[in-house]
Amino acid sequence: MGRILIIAEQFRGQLRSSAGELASAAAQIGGEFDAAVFGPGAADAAQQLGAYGPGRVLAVDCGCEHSGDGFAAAVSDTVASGGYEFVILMQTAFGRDLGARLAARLDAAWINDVIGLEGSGSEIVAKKPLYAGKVISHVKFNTSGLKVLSLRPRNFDAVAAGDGSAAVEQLGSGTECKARCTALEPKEAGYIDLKDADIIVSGGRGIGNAEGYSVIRDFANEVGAAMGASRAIVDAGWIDHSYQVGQTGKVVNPQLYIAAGISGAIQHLAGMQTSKVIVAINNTESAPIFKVADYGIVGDMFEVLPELAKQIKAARQ
Amino acid sequence: MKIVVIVKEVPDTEARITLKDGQPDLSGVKMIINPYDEYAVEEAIKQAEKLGGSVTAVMIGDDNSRKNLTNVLALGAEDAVLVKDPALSGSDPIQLAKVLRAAIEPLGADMVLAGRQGVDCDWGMTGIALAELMGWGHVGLITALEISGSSFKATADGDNGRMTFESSLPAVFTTDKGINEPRYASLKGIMAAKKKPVAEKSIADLGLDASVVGASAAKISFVGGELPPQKQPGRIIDGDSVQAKVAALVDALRNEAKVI
Repeated sequence: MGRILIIAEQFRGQLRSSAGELASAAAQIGGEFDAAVFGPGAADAAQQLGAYGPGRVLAVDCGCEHSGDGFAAAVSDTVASGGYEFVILMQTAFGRDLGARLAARLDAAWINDVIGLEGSGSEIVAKKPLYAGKVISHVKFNTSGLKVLSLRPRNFDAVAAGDGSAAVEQLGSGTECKARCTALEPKEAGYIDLKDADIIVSGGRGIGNAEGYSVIRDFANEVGAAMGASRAIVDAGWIDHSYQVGQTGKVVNPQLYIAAGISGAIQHLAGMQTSKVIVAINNTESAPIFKVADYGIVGDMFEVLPELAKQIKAARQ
Repeated sequence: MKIVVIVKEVPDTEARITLKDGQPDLSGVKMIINPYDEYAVEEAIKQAEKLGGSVTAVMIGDDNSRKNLTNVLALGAEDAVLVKDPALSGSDPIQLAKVLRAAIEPLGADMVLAGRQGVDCDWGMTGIALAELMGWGHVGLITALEISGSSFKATADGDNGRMTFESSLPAVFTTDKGINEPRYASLKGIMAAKKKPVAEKSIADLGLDASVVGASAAKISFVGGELPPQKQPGRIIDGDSVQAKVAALVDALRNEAKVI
């Protein structure tokens, strides 16, 4: 059994908590693991990675915000010669780019978007949703060589950070980056990403028109939720695609998913049915969304949502 | 400007998919062009119209793929390459990226466009792996693309915000929804498509040995599957007023489900 390299994520020197999910998957596979972080601030974030108990810690900085080819080039020799059998990343924009690059570059096996692992060591079997979760497939590796896998966020119980530390090795300087990010416009302060959210409130055709989305926005601001949307209102041009939940949008996994004015098409359900608790608010009692909802309220979302925000805030006091 | 767009067929997103012997059963399921590829096709045609040049569509498919491929030609691609070979069955996505490289390299493309992922296996890696195999740069999840001479500026939604990439061609771009509004085929386009050339290629035609593709050489295999646990329908919360219904809901979320 070879070593494992977990590739954690960071932004401006702040390690993302998904490092604990990666360490959890590494622990299940078993054996020794090392860790790496990429991008500006990697050296600072690498210090925090030591707390998860890796053997080596790599900080990879090519001098640009993101470059799939540059990041892969900077780390591939180390991965190829370091005795690694597994590389584990998160299934994020960053992880998919680097993971696919590394797998192709090193002719490795690749399984992405993993929601669970069975067994341990080289014989591990990964559970991976197909068709946006309509089917969960069981996939195994056929190679004793390098295996790259990416984890769907929020599906592995995060390992808590300890108080360990590790010496940080720097990589990446002088790497030639072919496609590189030259500017980043960070998300606005307080923005809650759909994939990180504990509570999501999504709107569908029931909002009536583009202005109607303000009822979703107000609820999200009041309660501290991320905002989602059905494909219908994205295709109608009422809201940007980055909000879409479903098979051609984001697949989400919050504690609480509130579907307001959403009928519940199959492609939407595929994106949110693993939410821990689903609440449906719809004025049509026969809407299919009620079939997957844990709790339903038949009523006008424009009355129910503001009242719900008010009562949730009161309950938290 | 020579633009290649990669397209694939996937089950209709509205289709219900069941399991047969632990594997997805696609019999009778309607196949459509992958929705994310529709944005790649539109972008390829738009860029070719703007910059001058032509679009070649490349698909790995089977005997039934002609219809969907003809639709891509009807939208404005000049010609197409259809790679079909029984030996490809059971290939993993990196093997397929190698096949695509063999099909695309002889075309002399300045850029390759593809959808961000196929909504079947959701690998999301074909375009990226292809770029790596060809030694090209790649920008994924793009929502805007400007080409000027041999330079490009692409905008993409990253994990930490909107990223701008500036570099030079050749490059691979994988498109996200929102980059454009795919057109519908015109009647003229549909008529013209019937006469447009589709080159069918086998693995041998591409100069590849059949032993490097297919299930026997794949580095992963699907050994089984399950349907996701079915959510049991919950309960509709009744009450005399909106306030009463919401109060009962908040009580349930707090004390029963414990999520707030």
